[in-house]
Amino acid sequence: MTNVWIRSAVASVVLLSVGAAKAGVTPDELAKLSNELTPFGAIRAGNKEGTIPAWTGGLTTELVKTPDGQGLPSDQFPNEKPILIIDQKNIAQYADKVSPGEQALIAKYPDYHLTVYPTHRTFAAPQWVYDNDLKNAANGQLIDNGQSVSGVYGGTPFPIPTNGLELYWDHTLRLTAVSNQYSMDNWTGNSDGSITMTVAAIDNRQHPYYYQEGSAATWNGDYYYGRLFDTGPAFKAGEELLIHDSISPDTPRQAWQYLVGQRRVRRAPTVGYDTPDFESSGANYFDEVFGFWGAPNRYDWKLIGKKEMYIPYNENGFFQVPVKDAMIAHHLNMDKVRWELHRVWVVEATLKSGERHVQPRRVFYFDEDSYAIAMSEGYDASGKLWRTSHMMPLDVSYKGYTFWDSTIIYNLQADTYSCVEFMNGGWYKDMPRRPESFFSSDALASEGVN
Amino acid sequence: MKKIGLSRAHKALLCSGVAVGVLVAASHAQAANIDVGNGDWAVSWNNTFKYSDAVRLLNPNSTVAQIAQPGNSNLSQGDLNFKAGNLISNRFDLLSEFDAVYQDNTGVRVSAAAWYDAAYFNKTANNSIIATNNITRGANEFPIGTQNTNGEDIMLMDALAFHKFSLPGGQSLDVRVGRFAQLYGETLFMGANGIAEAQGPVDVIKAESVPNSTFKEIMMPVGQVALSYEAGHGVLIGAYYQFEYRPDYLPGVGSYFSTANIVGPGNESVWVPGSLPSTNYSGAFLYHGHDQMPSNQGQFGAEVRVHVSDNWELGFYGANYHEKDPAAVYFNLRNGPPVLQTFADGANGVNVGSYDWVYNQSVQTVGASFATAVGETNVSGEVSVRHNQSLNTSDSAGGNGGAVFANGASNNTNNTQYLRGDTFHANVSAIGLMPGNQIWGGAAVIGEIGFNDLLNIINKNSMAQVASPGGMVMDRLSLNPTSTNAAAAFRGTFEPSFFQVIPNVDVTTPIGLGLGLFGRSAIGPNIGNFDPGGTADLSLGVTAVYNEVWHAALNYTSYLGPKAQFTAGGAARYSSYGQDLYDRDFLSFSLTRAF
Repeated sequence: MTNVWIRSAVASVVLLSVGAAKAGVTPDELAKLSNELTPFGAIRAGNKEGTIPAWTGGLTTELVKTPDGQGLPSDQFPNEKPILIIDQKNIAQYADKVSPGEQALIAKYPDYHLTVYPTHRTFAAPQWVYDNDLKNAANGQLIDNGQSVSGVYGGTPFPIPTNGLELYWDHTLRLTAVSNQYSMDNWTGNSDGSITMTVAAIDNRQHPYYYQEGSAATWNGDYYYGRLFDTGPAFKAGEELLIHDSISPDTPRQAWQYLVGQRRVRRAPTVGYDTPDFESSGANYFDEVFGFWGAPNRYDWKLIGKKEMYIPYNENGFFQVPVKDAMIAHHLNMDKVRWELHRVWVVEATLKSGERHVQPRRVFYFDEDSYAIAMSEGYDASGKLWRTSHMMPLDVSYKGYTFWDSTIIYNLQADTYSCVEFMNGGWYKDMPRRPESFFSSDALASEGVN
Repeated sequence: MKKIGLSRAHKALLCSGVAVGVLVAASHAQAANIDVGNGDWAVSWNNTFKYSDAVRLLNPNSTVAQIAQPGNSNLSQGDLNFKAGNLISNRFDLLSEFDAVYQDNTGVRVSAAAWYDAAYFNKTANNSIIATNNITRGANEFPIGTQNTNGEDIMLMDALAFHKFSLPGGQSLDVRVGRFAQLYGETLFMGANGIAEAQGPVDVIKAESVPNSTFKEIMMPVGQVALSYEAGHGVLIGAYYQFEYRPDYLPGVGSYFSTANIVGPGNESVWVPGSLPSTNYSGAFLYHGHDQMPSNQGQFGAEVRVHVSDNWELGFYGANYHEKDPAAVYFNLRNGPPVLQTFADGANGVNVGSYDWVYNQSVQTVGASFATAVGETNVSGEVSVRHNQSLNTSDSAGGNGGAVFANGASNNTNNTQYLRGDTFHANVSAIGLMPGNQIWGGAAVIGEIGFNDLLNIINKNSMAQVASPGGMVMDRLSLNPTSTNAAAAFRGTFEPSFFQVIPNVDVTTPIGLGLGLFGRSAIGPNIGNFDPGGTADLSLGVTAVYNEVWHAALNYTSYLGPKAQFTAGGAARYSSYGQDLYDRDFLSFSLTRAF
């Protein structure tokens, strides 16, 4: 089985002291980004079996939004048929390409299965992002013991990652919309098979790291502004949550809540790490959202290597399915979830000594093209597999940008699942860039309705 | 005799607005978002139905409920109206909220609350005509004023329109006009000890007697126009002008949390000390006259909030406002011969005059606040000073404390028969989370310490006509003899969460503690959520959320500290600062569903 591990040219440096000043890659490696690697550092070629195709620029055609041109972009590949179903009967045959977490779900639920489709490397970015990728490869470096970065902007920060923290930053600063707005729901699957909506909201996001005119020299370090406005359930309607994420190791996250009935805001510094996510009734922890969400400081991040695995991909078809058909007892409707074979980077995060987290060990699988954490597993203090999650990528723009944010987290021990930022029946809009004051706590206080 | 009515207000806030979102998903059915077929409009109509009841656990205590001298017969109706095991509320609440927002920046909001509490339409457990001050109702009945407040009502809550003006350069100006609530400052539970006191009144009835009431139900909106200018560079400038004055909504006379029969809705008379009525003996009484209320005009304020760094926000505030609770009562002797009157409860009385509650008008406050995060704990605080704050007043003779008789010029501004002073107020609060462990999935810890200090008395040489054992005398006003200059109190909650205890059911077990740390505030014994030194209240609860649709809560509340009536000192009648809810422990239940 070790033959499937594709050793990165520099994987042997996993123990490299990441605090050391190491700006960029060598000129030889940089040249690879125009040849055997894509601008963002993925292997340009397909695999020799032909089951992973070469990257040829990604999907850049415009998808029609349905319904009525106002909902979500349609299925990218509506006419394709599955090429493989992986379930309890044949899992042994594919075990090397299925994550331990997915294997646990297959073992636990007889009707859980992976519906595999042909692989499409749809990741695409505007040319100015590719240009930035090359600059980042030359100039980017980890600073503050890997808790921050410098010399990067507007693209994959480390196109040729050499350690786990660089992959963490590749995920955290992955390509995203400059400014957007969308409707979303969180759903919880209960152990008795019932499904509960825990919040309905409109999320507003803006990502200063991807302002086209900016640069590493002018960027202030903020990379995520999120303003979540709850529209339901009725008891939560009107509540707001504001998040600012920054590469500053001192203040990686600032959060505020709007207090309904008082028209005041209050800092909410507990939004992060292993705080139960109050937007999903505590069914997941905050840092399980979006693959991994928040500062990396509680873990040591160790790069294991790169391998081919089945991961969820090109899921626009899933989001066209109504909620009642998309989420069923104990898991998603696996007939509707599309899996493809892609190369992933595998990174193991273990709790740093002196730090605390309910999941002392986690394993992350980074899509080689988007760098999104497509899947992850979390282990409990006794070392037992406890939680497994995967994202549900939705291609939302006309320029190839994929919304890698919807996440489902399975709690294998409690027999529950949590769907975070699912958009079935919802809508997505790219927005003109808003003034940053829209994402200020003052705006929360002065614009609150309730 | 002041600030009788605002008993430990906002207690329900413990388990409500503050904790919401800190950890616990206060959850419920899907909001009714209405599709109007136009993407520019977001319209919703939410309705929340709640059934709640509560049962008394202890019989009235002979000290707290005493009627005969040296006790005060004017205080115990709420205590004696219920016995152990009686339902003290049996109530339906409806909160209906309609919001319509156009393009995220223009909109209207209208909300209304309605309730019916069957417990206030039953006969009471009291049979003593001495214990009640009812003129229009029998001894075992609730006054009409109480039935119209505790019992049933429909109240317009919010009614406002708002618009956000986008200015060049990314600045914006938000304007709100109508009836709504808005608070300044950083107080958590103890708004009445902070800058938030200026901005609006509180529904004390709901806060005390309806379990799990939320801020939006308890804060009473007032008519105002408010501006908020986001000036950029992390600076926010806000201002408001109120064109409506509303006092706190105090518990009705004879209702369970009422600790005085002569304040709050339904107060009809006061018996002269020691003058106990009966069916064959006429006690001397004064009837409720016309209260001196503040003007609807003259309440305004402004704030400047500055983000001085990523992790620090400072705020600066100034406001002029009118007090929300009575500062004092003025007595007026009747001109002409006394009039004999038989009350509906059978008591015979001799009408010797009337009394008026007086709400202090025009208090100035300035203050400053900070908010920061220390690790994963929210820490914030504020300091403020008030000028012209009413004080807990007695007379230097020590006789019949505070029972001052008005003269023609007495008012609630510059010729008051109560003391006014300069006071200092500080509050520090923290909100933190404890991580999950083998026992719970996570726990919210919330605490606040409040402090206030009397700096200066403005009108300390004022003279007033007071009743003394030797008759009416002119005497100098003085601070209530049991008050101290400085006082401090703590209030906090600890709320562990248990997720999916059984499928689809999340449970929390909130524990709340209010504790008077030291001192007996010169402002009065009943500052909201600010227990006098040596007294405490403790609550233990269980809440369960089923399917995000049903919310059930069970809560036990106990009152601790030296038992006392609201007043002490026999005929002198100064404030006891004791635990006047000593015998009022109760168990409450609520079931809520929102649509």
